[in-house]
Amino acid sequence: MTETLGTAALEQSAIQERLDQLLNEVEEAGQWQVGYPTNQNFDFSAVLPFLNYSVNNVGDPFHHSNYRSNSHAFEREVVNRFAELLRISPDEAWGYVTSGGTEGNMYGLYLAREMYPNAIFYFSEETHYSVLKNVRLLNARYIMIKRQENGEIDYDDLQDMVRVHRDVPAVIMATIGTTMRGAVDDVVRIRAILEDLAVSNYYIHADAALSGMILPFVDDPQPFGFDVGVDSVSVSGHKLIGAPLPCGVVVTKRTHVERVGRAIELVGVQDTTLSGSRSAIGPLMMWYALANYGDEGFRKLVAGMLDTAEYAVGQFNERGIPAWRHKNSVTVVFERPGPEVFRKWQIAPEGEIAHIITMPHVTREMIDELVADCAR
Amino acid sequence: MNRPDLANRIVIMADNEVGVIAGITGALAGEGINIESLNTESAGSRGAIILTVDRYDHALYVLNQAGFKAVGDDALVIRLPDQPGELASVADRLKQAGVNIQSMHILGRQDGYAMIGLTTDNSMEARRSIGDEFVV
Repeated sequence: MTETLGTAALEQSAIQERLDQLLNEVEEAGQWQVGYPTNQNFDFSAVLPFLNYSVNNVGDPFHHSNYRSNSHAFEREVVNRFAELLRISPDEAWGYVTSGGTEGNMYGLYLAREMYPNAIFYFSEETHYSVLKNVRLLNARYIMIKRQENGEIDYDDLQDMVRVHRDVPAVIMATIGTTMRGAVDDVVRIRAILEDLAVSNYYIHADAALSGMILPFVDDPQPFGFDVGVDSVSVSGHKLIGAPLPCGVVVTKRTHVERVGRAIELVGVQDTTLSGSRSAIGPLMMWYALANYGDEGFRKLVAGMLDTAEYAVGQFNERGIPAWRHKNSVTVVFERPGPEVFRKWQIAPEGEIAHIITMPHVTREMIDELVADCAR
Repeated sequence: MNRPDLANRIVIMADNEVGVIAGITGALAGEGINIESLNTESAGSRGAIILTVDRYDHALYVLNQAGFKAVGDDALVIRLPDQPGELASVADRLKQAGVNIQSMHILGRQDGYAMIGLTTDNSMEARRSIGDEFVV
C-alpha cells in the first residue's frame, strides 16, 4: 500500500499521536541497540534555540557568505581542530562539516578523480558500501581488492593489481576501522607498495568514520593521518561523538582543493563543497561536543569504550562463544547467534559472524544480558 | 549446459539452499515478470542462477530489493579459484589483450572460489582472453 499524507491538514491531536507513536518506537529500539556505531549519550539542549532560525551554512566555510545566519565560524574551528587531530597544520588544511561519512568519502574521491581523471580506484571488499556508490557516481574505474580474514585489505592482492596497472594513477581507499570487523588498513604499508612500484601519481583517502575519533585518543594508535601520507580523511560526527542528526567532517590538503577550485571557478561557482545549502546545526553540535569534552574528555570516553569491548570479548569467550576484536577497536566480533537474539537486540550480522560496538551507551549490564541470550 | 545469450541476462549469486529458486521466482511473479529461461551453476555451496526475463530492468530492481545479489548483462560474471594472484592474472590478461577494466567487483568468496563481476570496454574480447570456462 502506498503511504501518503493526504491533502487536508491533520488535527493537532492526530499529529501528536503519530509523533508520540514514533517516539515510543525510537525509545524502545534504542534500548537494544548494541550493533551500530552511534553513541546515544548526548545532550545538545544548548544548541536547541538555533532550531528556531533558518540557519544555513551554504558555501565554503573559509569564504565569506552573503547568507549571514550561518555557523561558519564554528565550522572552521571544528575543521581546524580535526586537522590537528589528523596531524596536519590547520594552515595547510581545508575541510567542511558534511552530512556524514559518505559525503566525506565522496568528497575525498571527487578530489582524487579531479586530480587524476584516468585513475583506477582500489578498495577492499570490506570497505563500506558507500564507496561503491561513490565510485559509480563518479563513473570511475575501480577494482575491488580481496580482504584478509581479519578484515584488512589483502596487501599482496593490492600489490599485484597495482603492478598490472602501474602506468595508471592509483587512488586507494584505506579504511580506518572497517564497518564489520573494525580492521585498520595499514596506510604506511599501502604507501610503501605504491612507492616500490614507482607509481608516481597516487592519492590515498582514509575512511575513518568511527576510528578517526578513537585513534587520536589512545596511547599507541595505528598511523593513519596526514603525517603518513593520506590526502584526505572522512570522519563521522554522529558516531563516536553522538548527535541526533547525521554529520561528519572531511579534511584534506588546502593545495588539493585550490587545484580543484580553479576548475570550479571556470563555471562561475565559488562553492567548493558538494552540497549547496548545508546544515548549520551539525557544525554547532560538533563544535559543542569538542568544546564540552576537550581532549581529556575524549580520552576518558574512548578508554571506557575500549574497556567495555575487552569485557565483552572476555564474557563471550567465557561462555564458549568465540569472540575477538582488533587493537584499539570497540567492534567486538563473535559467532553469529540464533534468530531469537536478533529479534530482541539490534546487532549487525554478516555471514557466520555478528558484531557489537561498545559505544558509550553500551553498559556492562547490557553485555551480560546479551551474552546470556547468545549462550541460551 | 545451454547458456543464454549474454544480452539481457541476469546472474544471481546465492547459496545453494532449499527455497532460493522459489524465492527468486516468487519475487518476480509477485511483480508479474515472466521468466523466459533459467539455468543454474554451482561452485561448492554457492551457486549462480542465470535468468532471462521479459522485463529486464524491473526484474533487476525487484531482485535487488528482495535481497538477492543480481548482476545485469553489462557485467561478465567469472568464477576463479580463490587463490593469491588469480585476480591479478585475469587483470593482466585483459591488459595484454588491450581491454580496459571499468570495474572489477568481488561478488562473493566461498568454498575455494571467488565470483567476480567484471565490466570492460570490450566484453567479447574480455571473455575471449579470460577463457570461456571461467565465465558463468
